[in-house]
Amino acid sequence: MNLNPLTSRLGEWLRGNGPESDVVVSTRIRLARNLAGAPFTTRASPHQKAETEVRVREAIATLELPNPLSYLSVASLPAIDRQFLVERQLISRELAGVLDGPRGVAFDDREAISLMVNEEDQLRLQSMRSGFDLDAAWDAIDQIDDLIEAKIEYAFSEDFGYLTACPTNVGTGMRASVMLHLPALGLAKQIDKAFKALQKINLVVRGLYGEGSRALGDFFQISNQITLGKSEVASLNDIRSVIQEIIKYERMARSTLMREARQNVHDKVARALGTLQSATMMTSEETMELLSAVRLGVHLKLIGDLNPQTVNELFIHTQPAHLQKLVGEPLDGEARNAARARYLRTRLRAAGAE
Amino acid sequence: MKCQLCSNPATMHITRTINKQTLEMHLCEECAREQNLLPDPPQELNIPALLHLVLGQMPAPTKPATGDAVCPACGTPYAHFRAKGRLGCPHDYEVFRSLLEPLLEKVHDSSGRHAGKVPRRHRSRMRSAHRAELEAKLKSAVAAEEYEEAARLRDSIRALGTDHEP
Repeated sequence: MNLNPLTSRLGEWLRGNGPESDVVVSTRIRLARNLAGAPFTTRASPHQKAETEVRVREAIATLELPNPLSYLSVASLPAIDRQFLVERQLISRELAGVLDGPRGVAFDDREAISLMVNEEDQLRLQSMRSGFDLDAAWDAIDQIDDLIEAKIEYAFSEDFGYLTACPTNVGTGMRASVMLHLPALGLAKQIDKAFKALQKINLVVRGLYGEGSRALGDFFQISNQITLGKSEVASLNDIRSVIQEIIKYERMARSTLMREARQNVHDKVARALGTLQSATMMTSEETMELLSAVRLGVHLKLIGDLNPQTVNELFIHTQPAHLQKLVGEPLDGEARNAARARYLRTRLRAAGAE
Repeated sequence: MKCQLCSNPATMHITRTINKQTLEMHLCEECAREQNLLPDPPQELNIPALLHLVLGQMPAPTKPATGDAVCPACGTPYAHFRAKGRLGCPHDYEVFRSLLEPLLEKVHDSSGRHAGKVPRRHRSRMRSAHRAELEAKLKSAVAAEEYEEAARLRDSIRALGTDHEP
């Protein structure tokens, strides 16, 4: 399968619409599942992993879905394609590079569903939505889970629920993550205060690309930690109420900024845009920080002729693998930073701040 | 009683208590010999071979598990989990149950059991088990001429419906 056509499309999570999309970038729910009677991936032989891959692939191929899934063997993909799928959040970094042997991913054209095979758990079902939409994400993945379960017997116990390789996921196997953009709380230095309450109610904050990644550009992922002893719906409700609070704080911070420091915010946004429009070298970290300011400017209507989708497109297109696919050749170090700056200049030349 | 390995009549009945748990085996002489449980000439039972046979078949582990426990299904030692943080197979949750429970309690902030979704095939399995239990109670209630109790049980069984999903 040629992945290049994906480059010109935005996956579901970057569509820039959906509920509360001024603050919430995307909602993601994943379920961890394993096959009954088989060793978990990390203790499986290459032969057993190949068997699992075949069984799951066959089950996936016969699912009756409105948007059919296509399967990609990750083991046989070149490194740049694996990185490309990581950037699109269709696969995890672990599936791309840490794990070995037979493994893969199935996803649909909209990139709203992705099913990883032979991840840490044999099946990781994932559903993505733009904006803040826990219910739609849950309904979609719950339904696919039922369809797969009709074909494959999952490892399950009455006491411990869905049995997973890591006991931190056992029970529902569900991790719901909401990606937030909190630039105003960042500017007001109130992020820590806003997050302090999270630990108490067992939610976790992470950076944009998951576990261990740094929170760049004031993007944060918030997810539930507890999977045992609490139902999926109860967990989703816990997250929902917290996210609603944080959205409220961020919007309050934004209106305070606009009321008390409009000139400063406008200047910051305009400088960010100006740098993106004229710099000749650009790292991905700096791009992220500057685009974060531009995104804030778009939502505060300080920049008239840019829309949220374009900003999202620039986010994803300036990631290393996407950039190299767009340019059409492998790039590293300075050449990559120069190509990134050139791409941003071209795309933003037309956009101007008022 | 039939032999657990073939269907010949069982002539060997072995009971062994390990870690306060009683294990039973019922075998015919031929199978016992095949499993190397009866050495020639017969003097004494081959205990290690017996243990291997019994433990290999048992769904439940010896309880409580200790830190040097090994899962008989996948061969993963508990120490491997301590080092890597990943279990070897679904069976490990039973084998290492007593070791995992305090950890699960800490991670999930409660000692609660699973409260979420149940796969459809388990739902009907759980219902069949529940039905069998009620039917056994009904039988003994009828035998004891406790008709009120029997009527109550019959209603509960009816309320369970069929084993198929609606």
